[in-house]
Amino acid sequence: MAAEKLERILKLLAELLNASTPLTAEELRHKVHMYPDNLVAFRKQFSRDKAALKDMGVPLDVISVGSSGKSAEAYFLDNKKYYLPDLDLTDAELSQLNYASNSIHLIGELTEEEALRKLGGYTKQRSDHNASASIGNFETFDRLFQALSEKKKTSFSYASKQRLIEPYLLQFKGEHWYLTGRETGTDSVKSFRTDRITNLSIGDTSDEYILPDSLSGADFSYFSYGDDDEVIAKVLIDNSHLKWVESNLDVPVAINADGDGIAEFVVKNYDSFINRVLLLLDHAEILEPDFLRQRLIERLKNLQNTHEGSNA
Amino acid sequence: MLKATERLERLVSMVPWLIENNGATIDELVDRFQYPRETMLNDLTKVLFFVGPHPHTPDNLIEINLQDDEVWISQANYLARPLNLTYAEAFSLLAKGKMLLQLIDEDSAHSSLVSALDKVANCIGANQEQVVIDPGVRGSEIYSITNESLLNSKKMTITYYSFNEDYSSNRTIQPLGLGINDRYLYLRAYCETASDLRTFRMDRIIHAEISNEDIDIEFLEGLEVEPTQNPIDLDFQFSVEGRATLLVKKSDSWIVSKYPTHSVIEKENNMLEVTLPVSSNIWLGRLLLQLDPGASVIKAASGVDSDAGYSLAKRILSRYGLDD
Repeated sequence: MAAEKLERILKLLAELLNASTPLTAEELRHKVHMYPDNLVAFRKQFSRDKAALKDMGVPLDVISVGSSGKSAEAYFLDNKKYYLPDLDLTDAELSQLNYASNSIHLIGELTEEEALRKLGGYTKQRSDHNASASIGNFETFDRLFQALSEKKKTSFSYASKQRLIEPYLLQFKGEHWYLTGRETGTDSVKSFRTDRITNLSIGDTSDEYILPDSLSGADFSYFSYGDDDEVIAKVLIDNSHLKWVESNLDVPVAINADGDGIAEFVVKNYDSFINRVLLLLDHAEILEPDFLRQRLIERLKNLQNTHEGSNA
Repeated sequence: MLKATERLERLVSMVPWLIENNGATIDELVDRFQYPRETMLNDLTKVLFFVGPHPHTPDNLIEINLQDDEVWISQANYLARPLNLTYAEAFSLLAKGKMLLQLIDEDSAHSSLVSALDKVANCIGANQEQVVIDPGVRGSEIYSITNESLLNSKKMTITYYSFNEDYSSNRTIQPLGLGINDRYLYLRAYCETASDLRTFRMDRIIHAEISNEDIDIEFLEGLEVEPTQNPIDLDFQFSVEGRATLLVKKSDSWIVSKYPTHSVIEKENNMLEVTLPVSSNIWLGRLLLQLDPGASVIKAASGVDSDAGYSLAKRILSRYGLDD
């Protein structure tokens, strides 16, 4: 039974790949010559076969043919969309893709074993590098990646607002994925956490916009953009907290003779920067500029005054 | 036993490769396409052999030539190229490849991966720069030591910074697996120092070494936990007993979306009264440091220090040479 199903779908695929014009279901039934005579049984089986091809990624288009009143659905496979372009992958390149596939685990439903078989073979292998990242909702990614590949405008709800976006890139940062693109309504480039996107809808028109010359994702150093005058702040960080600073604040740290570190930050939002430094409690100290140091001190004194006032 | 659709997927990938390489041994096909030998031989000789476009006459059926342990295919021009990648497949390859690029040194393997990713992106009309990966702690030595330890089932010694208590401790742990919760990556482990199961945030492990000692599988089984190579979703429970009520400005309402709360009441003068669980006094003090200095603790459960913010401010001011 499975062999018969396999032969029938392969024959259906052979007809579609060899057809120069769209074929109706009846024409395909005649050409494949393996479907049941009973019309209801045929439709059921034909529908399942189409679904199997679509699930595999076969880009089967359905169009209407015939004159008005006598039109019928016809099926067409655009060979340009079906065939993998000649990538000319070298053995070393295929081997590296396999290595990446074996090294990195995306937690979710995405699998690329089928992809690697299309590219020339999948090899299960032990890797010296291992990392895992969460992928979240598979369907959202599939559609967002299609939108940014085909440059299709995309609308969705985010933070209670409806947005129309020209998607530029998908970015993984801090265990979350972000979509960055131009919001047409505000003509500004914004980033959105993909797990907070709802009511996603992809436009029909391809190549609706042009990608900027250089692409960059969201900047998560909130203190590095704002309306304050830009300053370079130097912060002395205790040795015990160097690792935390390097991994959480994305900043290189120079180590001094005592083993402590001095980090330099570009600051354009003073309050946001002071918030970050305060997370380090007394394990860090703003060295310069002096006005930022004084601002931090003043904030702490105000906190103490409020406390004393409420306890009075 | 492969399903018909799985055999179909393998055939439409394998046939183009066979044609391009002008034949191959059965063993190589079995390995490359994860196609069980008997199933593949059956599909080649009893299924594919009968496939071709209408009218299915011998001159347009696929020709299979099987000799000894080698196979060749002809008359299958329409299957001479594989099916294109789906968007999900291309995205998955790009995401994994870009993550690996962040973890390996720039050498010849690095450059082969870069060129491979360019080709993968091009085939669906994308640009590999459209997938950006920041590995975060995955790029660190501590992450790599942790993975090695998990892979080889070895104990670890770590120095861990407890953010909520503001102190570092040395621990011997038996790693169980990695987990993800919201923005962070965690290590689940049995902590021999605490004699209990613990969850450590990876970016707060400030030193790690792999031990020669194996993890004690029998002991862990007795605790009804088992090591896993696959990261899991973690769910943390917040303290029920430790709680505090804060009076904060509405401009600080971000705390309501960031932290679990027991109640939020709107008050006069654009203020909010927020009651929330408190995991430690240091945690509460840090929270107060992040709020507008006008915020105050108006009620604290037993064991929760209503002076937590004041005390931390005092400590920090002392660092700046401003003691009382």
